Amino acid sequence: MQMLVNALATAAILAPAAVAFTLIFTLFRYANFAAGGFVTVGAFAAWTLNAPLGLPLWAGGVGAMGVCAGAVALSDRVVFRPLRGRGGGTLLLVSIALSFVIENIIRFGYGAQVKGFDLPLTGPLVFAGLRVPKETLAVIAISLVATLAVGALLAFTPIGRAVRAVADNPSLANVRGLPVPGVEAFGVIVAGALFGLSGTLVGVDLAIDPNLNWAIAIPVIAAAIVGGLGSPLGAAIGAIVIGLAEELTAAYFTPTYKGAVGFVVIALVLLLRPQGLLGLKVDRK
Amino acid sequence: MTLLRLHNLRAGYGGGDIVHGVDLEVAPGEMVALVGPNGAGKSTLLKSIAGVANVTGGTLTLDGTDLVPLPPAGRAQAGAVFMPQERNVFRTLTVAENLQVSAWGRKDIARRQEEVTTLLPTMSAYMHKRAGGLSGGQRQMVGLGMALMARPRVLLVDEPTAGLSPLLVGEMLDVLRQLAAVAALGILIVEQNARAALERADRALVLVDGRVVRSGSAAALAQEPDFGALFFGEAA
Repeated sequence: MQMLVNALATAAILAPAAVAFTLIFTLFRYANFAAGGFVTVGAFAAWTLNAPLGLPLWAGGVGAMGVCAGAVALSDRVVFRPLRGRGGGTLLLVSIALSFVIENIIRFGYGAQVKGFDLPLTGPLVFAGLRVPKETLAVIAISLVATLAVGALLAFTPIGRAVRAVADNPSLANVRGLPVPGVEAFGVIVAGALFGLSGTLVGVDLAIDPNLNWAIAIPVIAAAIVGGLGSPLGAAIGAIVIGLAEELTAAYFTPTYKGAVGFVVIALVLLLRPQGLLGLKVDRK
Repeated sequence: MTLLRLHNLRAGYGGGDIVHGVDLEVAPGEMVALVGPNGAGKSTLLKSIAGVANVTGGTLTLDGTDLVPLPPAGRAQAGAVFMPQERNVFRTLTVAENLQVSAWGRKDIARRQEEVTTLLPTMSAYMHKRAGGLSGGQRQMVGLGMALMARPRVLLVDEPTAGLSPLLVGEMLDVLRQLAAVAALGILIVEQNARAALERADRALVLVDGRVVRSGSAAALAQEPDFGALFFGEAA
């Protein structure tokens, strides 16, 4: 049971970023491996607002979402938009390069020292033998609400339908009168805000340092692939799968191999069910 | 009264013109068929009106408004709505969502959806299915419904019967014919089943190598002894 709580906590950190990753993939058809870099930007932005500037963490989180939305929008404008129309492989490589650039900018600005949020000390909640820190409960609740809110936004609102329509067929969306660049920009900003949220949540659970980049990127990408690229709900479910897999690995093998879980799960999914849990099968043309 | 007017229109995709100086007019309630051999530039002409192909010369107006400076989305908002031949539905959205998203920016979406469903009642049966799972005929009907959601003044229809069974070909063309009359809609249609289109259209133009080689009453054109030769491009 404790393992399940830990798995949910991991899933809660990964889920917003995995939804963001799949949103970008759905809109632009490339895997943005800078996901970990953006989450790290979110963590440092939240830390800057919380620790040195003394704002409460919720305000730091909101600020981090804004900073990340701006960072992702800027990267889209400067790096990815000029390369639209190139293959997904090219953009993937560019995103890996961007990830290293982001990591080193952070390292340059903040140094390599580990940082942590300025949070009041609170005891864990104990019930039925389970010890659940209040922060963990908050992380799970916030992530759940945010992920459901984005899912509802995409499923039930006009702008959400427009995002899905543009992702499905941008040429048709264009002749149907949809403002395609505006809709794409909206999707990018939502994805950025989600990266920022993940960054804040990860900082509650783990130490904040520039190495978060790849430590978080692989499980985030694995969660999106497990869920089925293009499915936000799938990405959230994928995050739970990765969270469970990491906890089981730590419990029955060794925590050292937790970092390898994402790679193993990606390999298994690609072998057994390439479209992921909720993804749609597509024909290669 | 003329709704859509093309004068000496030239168009292409950037590698030289494909349409060479076409004059064409469509009035409200009128169905105009564009026929001609493969590669004549029929679809390019439609796409140039919709903003998908480049207009390189001439004029293009909708009710006096110059469409040339407008992007595709702006032309759709202005009332020149294009129904592509292929990939004309959002496959991952339900039929209802396809209709709703096609009325982007409009306030009366629910009422419009009801009106469109009244005009195309067969859609009600699969309104909540994903469009990607529909048959070819159903998809074409949804594509038409989506185009109608945008409150078109002129509908630019590119081969709406491609891939449909002979029975559905007539049905689709009849629907378009009725829409033109009921909704006072101008329809410019490119159709591979030339005879079936001419039976329903008011006027027709025969396009060969990007130029209009014959135009006039659709019924009269269909009766011309060299119609087959025109259609297959031998009279160009």
